[in-house]
Amino acid sequence: MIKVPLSWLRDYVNLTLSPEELAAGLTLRGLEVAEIIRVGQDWDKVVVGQVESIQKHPNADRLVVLQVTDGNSTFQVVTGAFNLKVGDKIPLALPGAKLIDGHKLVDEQAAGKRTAPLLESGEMPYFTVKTGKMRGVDSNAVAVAALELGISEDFEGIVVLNPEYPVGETLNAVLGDVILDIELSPNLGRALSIVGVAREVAAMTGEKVYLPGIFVREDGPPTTQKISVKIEDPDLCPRYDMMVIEGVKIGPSPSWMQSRLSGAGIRPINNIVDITNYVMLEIGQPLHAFDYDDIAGKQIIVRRARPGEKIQTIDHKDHELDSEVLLIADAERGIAMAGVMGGADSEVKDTTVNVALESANFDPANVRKTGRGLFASVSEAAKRFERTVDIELAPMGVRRGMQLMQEIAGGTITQGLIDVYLQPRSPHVIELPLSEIPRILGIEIPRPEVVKMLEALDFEIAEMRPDSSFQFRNDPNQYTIMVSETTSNPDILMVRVPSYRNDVTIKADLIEEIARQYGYDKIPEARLEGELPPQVPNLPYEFEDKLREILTAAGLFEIITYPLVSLESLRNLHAALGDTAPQTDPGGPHLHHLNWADPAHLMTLANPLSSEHEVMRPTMLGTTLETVTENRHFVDRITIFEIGRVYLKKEGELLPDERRTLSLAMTGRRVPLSRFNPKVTGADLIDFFDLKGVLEHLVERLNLAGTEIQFVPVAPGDHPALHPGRVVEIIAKSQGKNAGSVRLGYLGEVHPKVVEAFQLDPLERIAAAELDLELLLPLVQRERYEAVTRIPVVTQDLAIVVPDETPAGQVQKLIRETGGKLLKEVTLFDIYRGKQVGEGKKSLAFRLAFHPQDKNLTEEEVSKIRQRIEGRLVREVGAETRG
Amino acid sequence: MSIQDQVAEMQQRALGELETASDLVALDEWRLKYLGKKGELTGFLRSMGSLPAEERPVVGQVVNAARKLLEEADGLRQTRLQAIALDQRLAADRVDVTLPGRPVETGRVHIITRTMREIESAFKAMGFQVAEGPEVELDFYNFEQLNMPPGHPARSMHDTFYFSESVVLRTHTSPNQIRVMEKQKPPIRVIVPGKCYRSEATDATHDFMFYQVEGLAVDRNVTLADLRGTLTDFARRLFGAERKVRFRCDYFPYVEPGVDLSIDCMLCGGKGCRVCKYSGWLEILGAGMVHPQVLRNVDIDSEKYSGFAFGMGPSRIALLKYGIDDIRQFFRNDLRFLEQFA
Repeated sequence: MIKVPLSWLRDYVNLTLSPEELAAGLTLRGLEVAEIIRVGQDWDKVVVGQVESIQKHPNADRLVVLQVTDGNSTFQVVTGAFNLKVGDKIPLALPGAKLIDGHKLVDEQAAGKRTAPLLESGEMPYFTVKTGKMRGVDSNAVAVAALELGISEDFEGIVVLNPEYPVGETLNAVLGDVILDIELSPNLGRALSIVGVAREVAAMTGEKVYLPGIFVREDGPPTTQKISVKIEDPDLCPRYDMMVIEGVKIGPSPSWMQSRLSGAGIRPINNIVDITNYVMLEIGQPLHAFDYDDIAGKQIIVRRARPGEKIQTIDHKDHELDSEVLLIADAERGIAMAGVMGGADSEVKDTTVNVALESANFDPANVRKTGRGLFASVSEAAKRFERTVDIELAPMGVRRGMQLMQEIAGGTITQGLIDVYLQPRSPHVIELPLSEIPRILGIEIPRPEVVKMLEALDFEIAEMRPDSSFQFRNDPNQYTIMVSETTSNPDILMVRVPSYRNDVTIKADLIEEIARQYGYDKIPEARLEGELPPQVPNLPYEFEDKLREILTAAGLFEIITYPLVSLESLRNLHAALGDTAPQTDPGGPHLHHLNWADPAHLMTLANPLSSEHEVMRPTMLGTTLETVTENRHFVDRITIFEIGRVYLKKEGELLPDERRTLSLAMTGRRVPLSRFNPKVTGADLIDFFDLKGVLEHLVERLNLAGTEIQFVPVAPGDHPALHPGRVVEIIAKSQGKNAGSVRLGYLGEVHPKVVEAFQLDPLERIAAAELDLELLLPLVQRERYEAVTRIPVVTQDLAIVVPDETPAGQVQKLIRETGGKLLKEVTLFDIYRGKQVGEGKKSLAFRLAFHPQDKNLTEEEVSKIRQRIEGRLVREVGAETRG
Repeated sequence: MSIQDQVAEMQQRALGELETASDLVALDEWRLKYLGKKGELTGFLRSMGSLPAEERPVVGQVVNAARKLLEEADGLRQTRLQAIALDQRLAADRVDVTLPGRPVETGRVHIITRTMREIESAFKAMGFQVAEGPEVELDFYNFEQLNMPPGHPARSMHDTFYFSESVVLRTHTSPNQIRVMEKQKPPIRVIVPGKCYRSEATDATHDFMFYQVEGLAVDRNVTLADLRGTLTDFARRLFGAERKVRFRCDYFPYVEPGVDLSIDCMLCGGKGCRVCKYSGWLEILGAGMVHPQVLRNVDIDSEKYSGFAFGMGPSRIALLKYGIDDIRQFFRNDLRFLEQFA
């Protein structure tokens, strides 16, 4: 982010576009203008006034009475500020002017309703200037403080304007501004300065960039006599420049500088510190000013911190350092954390008279690490070093700083620049075959156009000679390149990259520059040509959609939950166990690893945002139940499913096993309330069998030929989260090639204690199931057609009496097995217990549907099959037939 | 009384009785009585045997004429009675048609899934295929192979959840570009949908989990113009043919040149509103030409091949498309929210 006041930008480039055009153009070029801020548009009726006299208030010691002229008339103004002298030019708010209500802001801050910075603390309160009396004295206008204008936080004194401003001029005309708030991606370090933005503007509009003129009067003693600089770790500090200025006078910086800093979002402090910030904002080189007299031994040593070494930074925080931190040290101790923040005991203060000014270059990664490791927010300097500062900028930085310090704070500058630059960089040259432009951009641009575009961006283009040597203008060196296939191509440009464009290192970077100059908006729209890659199905992904289709048609809603869960929610799944640890079945598939909250099996975040989302779920049961909880108070029927992943830590591997899993839950009213189902209370509620029905339907739709899905009762307590009397394991039994059985998952009603742990009413029945889709998917077969005949179906009803404990599923299975191919449907339609069948017994009634294949079935054939079935039921489950 | 007279009398009586047959049952009885096998008309024919031979034809004629007459009358009466019966049934069937119908209960696919399918189908039509990848990812794929070595400033744009120094929750779907290119050689056209995670505080526009759909096309002569055409087609297909599309320079370390694609804000028509942050534009995807270093990382010759990559957020697209004001709605799974999206 950089805030660019156009009034400042104009110092370095002619602005030929409106602020809107400028913003749109910069945005297309990658410098995204987030906001156009107009300062001073609402300064209606605020003018430049001049103080003619200052008198004591007759009734109040803490007030003064000013006479201020706007050029035509004189206004009497009562104020509590004492910073003015006769002749000062100030903003004068005339009656009717609307100003920010500073008193209210300060009061609200005292009451804890606002926090500093006040101007960013939300909606601003305003007041309208009126004539009135203050402690018995007429006050006809207001002398304005910076806070009241919204230009800085200062509410103590009245703004003192540039003495050159004409009295009576509107404040908007002299101080109003348009500020572009630009978001900068990490590659745009070069645009973290007003000059940097000016370069972009110039490249866009064809204007020229005017760099600040620097003239430094060096008439002090030689710099080397005052101080020495040594770099011990040149890998972290490739360049360090310094000069000293003696005899400065610390005070506030001039208002023009303050207002520029404020406009760019930096708080003014004092003239020396403000100048370091000003130069950083202006050209992009961070500076650091030391109080020269605090530098022990008059030595600067750039070195890594010793482990355990301590420093207090200017924000008065103490840090204990390790050797990863680069220090600026004197003979005795660290006096700054390089590129990040200065030390408290060498900072410039009111008593400072001699200043040593640092302009250096630090390793981006190291600054990033130190800055982000030790500080909550990134300092302005660190922000720039992180993104790489132009290494050739250091001398200009220190000289520009010296120049401004002398102009503003007086003093004598030492002679000569200390410039420790151990391994000077040579300019980077890129070979750019012109054929790259159509290859990557899809457009043809003539060579002269390309050269013009790159030159507008400060790139230098060398002409290649027939002998493959080339030379840049303003560079006496002649270069030769190896003659290769590519370089013998006459359509190659040798492009020299300006030192501030560290983001440009390869051909592709130049291609982007050309695209930016050409205009992204002018790139044509083409369509991909060429051969398609082989088109193949993605079975698991398509399988998911098949499941979605079946389950939504069955009335279930798809949910998507956060796979990052809390340990607590996993523990809640064990609520029924009390203090005993859940049993695990290490040999079984993952859904049988039932000790879910065991950290040994979990992927746990090292830096969670909160304990609520800390581990990757090993089961989806918890997130599904949480969704039930989320909805319970709002709807009376919840039928949901999720297709997601569970994450199982794998022994000896970095990445977990991410398994596609299906989780389902149903609870509440079976049928919604309507005049057809009028029971408001006591309506039929969803239970185990509703979800079992859904799963049976699912299995039927999934063409699992050769595989039988069985819902097998499990021993009580085998699944800690499910109701011991209403739980089955879902098992796939396959025949043929892949014969064997696979444990797919579980279906059951949730254990009342678990229901309670999820903040639900333990009396509610919640049916839930979880299936491992990675195991289910391979069982799905291609759909095959089965002949349908037009011969009438024959149905028969069969009623038998069996002992009560005989599972109906077993009876049904026997019927199916015995019925043969013709028996297509076996429907259990009645269960009866009572006197007629005798104590401890039940009657089961089945409808059997026989589908003939090629000819009508005779009564005889059907009764033969039926007799076979009855006979087997009598023999194997002790059934009695009931006609 | 001659037989002729008897027939005439019977005919008279029968017609009279027919008038009183008030429903189809009575009509059946009447028919039996006069026209049935044992009915009166048949009786006359049977009695003809006792007549002199010369009279028989005459009597036969009379009887047949009566039969014809009675049958016609019967037919008319039947039609009329059927009409009356139908009217009665229709009147009895009358219901209060303003009563509500029987409720139908069906579920819904999650709006994010649906949005992803819309995005995917646009690209599938252009020959892109779905590839999935792990959510728990190596730093190597999530950053390093994508041209973001440790300490790279762009890493600060990715607030990353770490399991360990080398294992992260993927912050984008881009690591799967690498995984795909490690396995496939050009031509490549894939899209990668999936969950991504950023360790940032949640609010109405940020969530720590979100979906991305990543796209990648690598071949000879894939250009920025192809990128623009492909993504413009996509944007118009998803958001409407009348959309204006802005194509501007942006930065992602794994592409060069880099692109941001925006559409004109459909909520304010480009005039500027809260949703588009008063810019008139809505950013919908980031893209660019695959960085040569990224191609080199997977042993694809960047001098021969080029490619484009793009990434977008289905959550954001759904937010924009349906005017949803809080991104946290998506994974809160309030059924009253989910059921709004058919």
